[in-house]
Amino acid sequence: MEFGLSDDQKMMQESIERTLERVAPLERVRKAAGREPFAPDVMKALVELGVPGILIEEEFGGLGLGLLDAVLAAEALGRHVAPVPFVASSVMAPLALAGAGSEKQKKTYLPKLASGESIAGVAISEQAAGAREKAGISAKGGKLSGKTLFVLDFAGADFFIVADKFAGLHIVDAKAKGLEKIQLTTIDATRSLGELAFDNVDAEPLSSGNPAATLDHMIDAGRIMLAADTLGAGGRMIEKAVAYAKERQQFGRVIASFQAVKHMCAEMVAELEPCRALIWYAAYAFDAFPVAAHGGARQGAYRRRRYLRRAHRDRSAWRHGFYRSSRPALLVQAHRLRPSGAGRTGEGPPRRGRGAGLGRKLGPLTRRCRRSVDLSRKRERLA
Amino acid sequence: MDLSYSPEYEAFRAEIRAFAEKHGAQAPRGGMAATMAGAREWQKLLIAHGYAARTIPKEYGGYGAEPDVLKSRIIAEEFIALGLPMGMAGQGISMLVPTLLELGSEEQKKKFIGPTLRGEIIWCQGYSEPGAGSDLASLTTRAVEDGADFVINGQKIWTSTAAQADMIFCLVRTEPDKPKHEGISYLLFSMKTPGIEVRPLVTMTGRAEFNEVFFTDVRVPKKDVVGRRGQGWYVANATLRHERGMLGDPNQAGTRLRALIELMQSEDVDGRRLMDNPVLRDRLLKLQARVHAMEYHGLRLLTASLKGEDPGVARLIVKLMGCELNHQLAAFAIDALGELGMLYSASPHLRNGGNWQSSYMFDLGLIIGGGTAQIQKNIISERGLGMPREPKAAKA
Repeated sequence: MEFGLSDDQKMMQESIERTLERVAPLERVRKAAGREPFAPDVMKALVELGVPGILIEEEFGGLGLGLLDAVLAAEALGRHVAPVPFVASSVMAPLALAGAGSEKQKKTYLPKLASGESIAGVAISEQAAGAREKAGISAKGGKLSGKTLFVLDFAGADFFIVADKFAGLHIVDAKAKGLEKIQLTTIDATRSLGELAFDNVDAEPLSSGNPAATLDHMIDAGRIMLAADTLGAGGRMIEKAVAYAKERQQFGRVIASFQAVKHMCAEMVAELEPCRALIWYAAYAFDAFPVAAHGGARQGAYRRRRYLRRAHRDRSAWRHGFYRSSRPALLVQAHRLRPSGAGRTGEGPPRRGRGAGLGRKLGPLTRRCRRSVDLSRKRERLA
Repeated sequence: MDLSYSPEYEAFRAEIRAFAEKHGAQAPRGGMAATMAGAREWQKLLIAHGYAARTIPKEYGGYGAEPDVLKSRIIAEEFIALGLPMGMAGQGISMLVPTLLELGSEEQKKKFIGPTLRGEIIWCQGYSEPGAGSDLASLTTRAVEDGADFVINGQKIWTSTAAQADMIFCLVRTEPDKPKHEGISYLLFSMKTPGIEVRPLVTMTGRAEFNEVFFTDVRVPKKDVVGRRGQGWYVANATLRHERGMLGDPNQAGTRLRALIELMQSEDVDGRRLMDNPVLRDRLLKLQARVHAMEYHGLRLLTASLKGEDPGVARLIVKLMGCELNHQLAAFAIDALGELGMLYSASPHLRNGGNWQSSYMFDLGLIIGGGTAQIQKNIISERGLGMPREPKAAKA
């Protein structure tokens, strides 16, 4: 019974942190945000650490680690608002290939994702969050038609993993004939979203294994990653808010000595810390009790073990319950404490709003983030 | 990370289940006061099997096992799952006993721990005073030395179980000339001593959960000071640490959540279950996520303590968040009950014996007791986040 990080995991997270500290300071992030598809120098540094291949099996050039390790990476990336693809390209796409790809497809695509040679976008929004504006993909005879919105890690993607209306998965080359790519403008300029329109486009089906279960798996993993990313960003914002409160003086004393300010900081950290345990648990459960076990042959074996049964229950509870509870209030509070005034705007909390592509379960959180980011921009313009 | 238990622990779990099968029928049911004798019998049985007073040395009346937080956790998990009452709690067992083990004299340990564990001595805690709540160290109840005795005058308030208690562990000022933290002693004495008057305080629950205790020339032996005379503040802080852990217990939230789910499954309005009302279900899910978060947070702290790591600020938030969460669960149950939520006491149509209403009201007190939410936030921000203390107000 151990519910904590191993020394290896701590070291890995620290080294990603240190690297991002070096290669992705806020000035670099600002330069990339909304102007470049992603920051290639930051990506290169992460490739050296093996981050894009974190979930990819070693035989395909990855690190072969678990979702908890990916959570630690996502937290670090969130702390730095790293302008690089991750949730789709390094988590959801590798899971799609591992779960529903043929050996040949795995051999073709996974090594390229692990080495950073290829970026993969993921187009599953209609399956994860429902269809809007009659979006949806039809597959017929190896060709795709229709449109899909909110494609994750869109800019700079070399290929896309696309879910059709019947939860079938397909690989589509970004340069395929008949594929129209429309970049969307997002509140989080470090996270690229796009729209894909298909006019009888060639696609390669991902039809080995169990595509429907794989899609569920991808959605779960994506949500856990976004929660971890938000945890990282939230933690960083609290640190910045606290540091600033210790520096800013009013009425002849640092504002950190006022209970009104201290209590706000205490509330933020008290909201955030339990989220960390919940996200760790979600990732642990993802690895230890895969979705396939719900309906698969392994279920019988698992059922004999009480704690596993309980974990299943907890996991599904988690899937339904977590997102709505991750207390966006703390982001708003952190935002209120952000430094204001001329010359200080540069030290404000990083812009948030990640996750818009994953749909309604993150809705309240992203809406609040959006509002706080919009406000922050308005103030910056005024300043 | 691995949440499975090794075979040794699974065997221990099986042992508890076997115990439950054999002795479960002897477990006391119903209100505590009605079955005090039954509760004592049950407690004796639990101590004999190591399911209560587990790590307390045998010579002081405990079971004498090596501390093993996992086994303690398994006991709690299984007892909750099997619906068995845990061993006796209360301030004597939860707060005084650990303090005596840490700081008591050999004589005090021998004399008090065993009978306390067996429920033969019921204790109350004499800390808060009308003028000393969050600023507890300002307390003014005086204990003046007179030969082998102290003579005590003053008043305590918010004293739980004072009316039932045999003994009190009490903070008294023995050195009025010293700085406020240095002049306090932690004193044990009998509640039967002449000069003690207990007046019940009836709260909004309609019950007297608290009391006022008045001391008029109460003469008690000097020898029952715990720790050194004048060091009572530090002894008390050791005790409060135990209480905060107890008040923020995430197991309690888990139990309450399960009751809430049952309520929402069994109640219906216009033939529709509360659980099928999307607004209520959404609120339930939010609370469920918070309960799980606190539960895993507890596991994280448990692992940290097993590994000897300092979890930092994560440890400091438990009382604040745990008490708030318990209160939120009760508040939500009342909302879910709708009109039934207005009923109380022995009213017709009352659900769950009015437990939700009672908890809702009483938990407001727990958010204040044992270090108010505001004091907790000071602790989190000062010790956890390194923010400076509020400067002392200039003397007028």
